[in-house]
Amino acid sequence: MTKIANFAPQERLLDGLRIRFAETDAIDEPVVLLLNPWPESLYAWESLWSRFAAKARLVAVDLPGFGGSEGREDLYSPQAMGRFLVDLIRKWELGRPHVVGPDVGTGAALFAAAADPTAITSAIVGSGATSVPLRVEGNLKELIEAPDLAAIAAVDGRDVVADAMTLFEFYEPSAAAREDYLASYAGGRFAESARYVRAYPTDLPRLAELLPGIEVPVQVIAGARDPMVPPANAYFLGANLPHCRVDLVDAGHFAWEDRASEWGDIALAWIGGGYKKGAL
Amino acid sequence: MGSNDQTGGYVTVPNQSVEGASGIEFAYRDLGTSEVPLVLFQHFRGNLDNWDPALIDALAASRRVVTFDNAGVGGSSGTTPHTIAAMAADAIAFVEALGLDEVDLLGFSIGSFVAQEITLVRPDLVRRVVLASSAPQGAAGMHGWAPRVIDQVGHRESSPQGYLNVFYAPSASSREAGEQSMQRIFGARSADRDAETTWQTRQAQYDAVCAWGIPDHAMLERVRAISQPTFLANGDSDPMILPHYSHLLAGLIPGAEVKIYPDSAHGFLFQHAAEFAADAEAFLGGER
Repeated sequence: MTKIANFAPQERLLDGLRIRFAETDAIDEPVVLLLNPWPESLYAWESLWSRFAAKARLVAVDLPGFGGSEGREDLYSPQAMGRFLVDLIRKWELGRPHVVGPDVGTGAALFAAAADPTAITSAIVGSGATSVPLRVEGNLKELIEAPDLAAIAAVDGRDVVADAMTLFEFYEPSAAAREDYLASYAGGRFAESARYVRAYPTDLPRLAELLPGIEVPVQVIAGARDPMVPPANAYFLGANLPHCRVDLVDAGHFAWEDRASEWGDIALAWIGGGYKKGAL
Repeated sequence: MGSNDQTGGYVTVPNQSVEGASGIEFAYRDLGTSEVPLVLFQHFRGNLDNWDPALIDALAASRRVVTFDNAGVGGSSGTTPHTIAAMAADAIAFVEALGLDEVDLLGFSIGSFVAQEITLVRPDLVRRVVLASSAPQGAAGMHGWAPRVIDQVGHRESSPQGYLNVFYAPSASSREAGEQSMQRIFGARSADRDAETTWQTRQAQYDAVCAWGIPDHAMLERVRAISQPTFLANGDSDPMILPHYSHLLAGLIPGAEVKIYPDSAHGFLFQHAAEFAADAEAFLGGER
């Protein structure tokens, strides 16, 4: 059982890839496109799904190579994923959604906003690396700096995810979510998905150049005690994006789950109209 | 309590002076009554006379209000320093010279940078903070005023038209409000006017503004340490310090409130003097 009634992820082909998604249809507008964090999946929204669904039409996706979606080698980078995201928004006829992408979704959402400002109304990001020079710590730093993925590929991805889940401070995933996180990266899937963060050293300097020109308003929410992506990454966005608000919450890395209530308050205030003020 | 409270309000309240520990003779005005005074920090190149009397009188109706010239500015002695930190140190010396242990701050423009700095380095002195037309240190786009702004307010000879162009929105209603405010600022007080600010003050203050605006994302973290209740305000069309910086600050300073006033620019607090004073009063009078 998930924490959400009638939560039924489906699959749909896009660009030849099987993409897993879940959606609600009780409300037409606004559209909120939720991206998976890593190493999690669209089940990461189980704590906030009902609250968000009362205010918006939700479409949650697993980005290619993450969660339950099929990956492709050329998409394992924030910039390529940003282009994919714009394509998804167009082909799935999502209008001009608010894109909510904590963690790995941060780079993808910002590259999408830079690539096509007409595709996105606003973005809610954070807990994802953005700083140049790179400011990451812990296992994430090791993954990015390792000469190759041989060592991590030798470990069953389920074990890596189980280890990552020890960083949850308050969040207790449902049995369905826990199993989905483990299954999503089983075998070699974790090492495969790690290609995305290993593209940060080349992609983030490109993103840094684009930030001052991104007109899409951006809300950053980050954990003040994030042991892998320190708050410097949130400040970097706040200092360099023209329309940005930065809120830090008393959390580690998994702020959207460990502080779901506060995170949800900030996100809903933003989607409910705060994004217009940020664009002043 | 203001020792020289006058029924004639800000246009007649006398200039006073007090010597700070560093030997600076600070010019100031003091009116109204309250347990915790509100100390005001003036904008770029402004002196005691550049506060709109309509705003000061509205604020002083319910609290003690102190305006002052910081070191080297207007009627104060000394030399204007080139950094916000040094301006904050001078301002603290002024507050100490008045014998005040706890104050509220209202900083406007560069004065809001000084108010942030005081709150960070002398937190025990500060009860509540109002930041008007403000920005955090280190945010991109703040490295000096935009060319069209400095072209209006940066010349040796200041021009009323340039002031109007920056402090008021292009709309007829904002311009009309601006002209009325300028009449109050420049026409209402005939005796005992303050000394004009000098080119040295202009240059030093602009150095401080540019230094504050050197892009440095790590500096944004500083204001997270502000624990005092903070109210952020700006006009929706401010070309000098864009209103989105108030929203950026609102996220960074824990629990900060923000309000953006319509149809107004840098001088929104003069244009909307009654509304802004009421908002400031509601904020300053709130429960801690």
